[in-house]
Amino acid sequence: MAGDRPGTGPRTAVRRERTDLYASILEVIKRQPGTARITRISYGAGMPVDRLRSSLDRLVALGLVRRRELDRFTAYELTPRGQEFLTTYWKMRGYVALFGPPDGSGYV
Amino acid sequence: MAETVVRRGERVRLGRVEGDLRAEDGAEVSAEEGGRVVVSGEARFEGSARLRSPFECRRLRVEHGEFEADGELRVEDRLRADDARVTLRGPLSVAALSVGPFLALGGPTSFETGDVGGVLEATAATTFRTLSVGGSLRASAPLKGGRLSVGGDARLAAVDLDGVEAGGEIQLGGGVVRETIEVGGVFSAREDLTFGNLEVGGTASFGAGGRGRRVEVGGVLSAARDLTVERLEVGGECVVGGSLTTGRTEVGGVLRVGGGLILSDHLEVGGRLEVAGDVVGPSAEIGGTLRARSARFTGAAEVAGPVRTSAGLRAASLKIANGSEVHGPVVGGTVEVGRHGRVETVFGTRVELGAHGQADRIVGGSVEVGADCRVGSIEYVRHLSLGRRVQLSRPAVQLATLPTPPR
Repeated sequence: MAGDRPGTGPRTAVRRERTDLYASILEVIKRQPGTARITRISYGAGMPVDRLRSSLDRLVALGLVRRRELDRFTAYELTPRGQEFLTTYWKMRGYVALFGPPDGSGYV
Repeated sequence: MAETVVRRGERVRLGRVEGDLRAEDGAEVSAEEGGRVVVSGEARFEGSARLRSPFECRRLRVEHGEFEADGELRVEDRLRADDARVTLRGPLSVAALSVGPFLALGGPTSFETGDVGGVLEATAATTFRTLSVGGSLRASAPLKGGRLSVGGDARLAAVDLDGVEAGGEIQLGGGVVRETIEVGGVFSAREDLTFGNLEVGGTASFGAGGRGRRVEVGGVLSAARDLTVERLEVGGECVVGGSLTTGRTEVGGVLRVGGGLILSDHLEVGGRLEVAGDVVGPSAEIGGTLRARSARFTGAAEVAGPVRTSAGLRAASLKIANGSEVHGPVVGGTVEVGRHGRVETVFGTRVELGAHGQADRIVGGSVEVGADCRVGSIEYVRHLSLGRRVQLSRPAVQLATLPTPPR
């Protein structure tokens, strides 16, 4: 079965979804530099706060996001490594797009 | 300052309210005698609320729940609803707005700065100086203003903006973006678009035509009609249905043009170049095949793959790589055809055909033919050098002057 092989089938699908999810969370945080509250991020990423919290913990552990304790709330901000992830993620999406349409069956 | 209170679930009719208004959850506010409600201070809604008449206040704050306004809403200073869903069916004018999960704008809206955490839906014209949306933006009516930033996807009608930035995807109807459009994933414009710079990580498509300064696309760029830019960089494939007018151009993979290709600067294509019309430019490096009705470069051109033109390939200095096959006439100041190359007719001030090459006809001021070549005919003016075992179908002819090449 394809899914039994590493890096293929369902396993790849799960990994890809998670990568997309992390990218969308990072994009939301990026737009509120230094002030992103968890509720605000949840609105942007379209995720419930409890599920988002575990994703944020993971992103903090990976060094992609920094947690800052402010007076009244905890804020999240993108680290340079997080920005690097986003740049690489979109670049990779660009390469992946090469294998999809349009093939351009020919104006010539 | 005086405070007017609307109790939980209460339906009230108000006229002018001096001071602040505080409404508990479930309040419903209408105007007296069909007029408008005017609050001189802050209107604060502690939970869900509905405004059934036009409403005016200095500041508006919604703490939780669903907030709806059926009529016009005018807020002098700030509308703040960090944790409430807001649905406005009438016109809105406000200096600044900050809404959490959801904002629907049903009437013409104008504000200076806007910040929506989740989703913004606008079904009437919206004007702003800056707008940031964390999640997604749907605008089925024109957007006009300054800078727009969207964390996720943006689906827009016509735009007249200074700049647009989105993490995921932007679809827009066309219009003008004066500065930069920056998109992580996918960009598409349904109608003609005039823009400053376009930077897209993934794919970009123009359903009609486009005109801008600089375009950088990581993956695929396509335009159904003409595209005019000053600089073009595409990582993968670039397909233009009409003509492409551009400055310095780098395409990693394939560049395919349905009309003509007009270049004002160097062209570099990693893979194939296919142009239905004519190519005109200063210089080019083509990593693969070159196909065009004609290609004319005022400077140097190098082609690493096969060449097929009906009206000729012309350059001041032309290099055809080893093993390439050339269909159509070739004209150059200097023409170098690599080893094992095959050409039909070559005109050049200086022509070199690499070893094991084939040519139907060579016409040159100075002609050098490598070993083991087969040539139909050679006409030369000053100098002829033939390598070993060169086969000529007819003896070489020395001319007094170079004949005029095909135009």
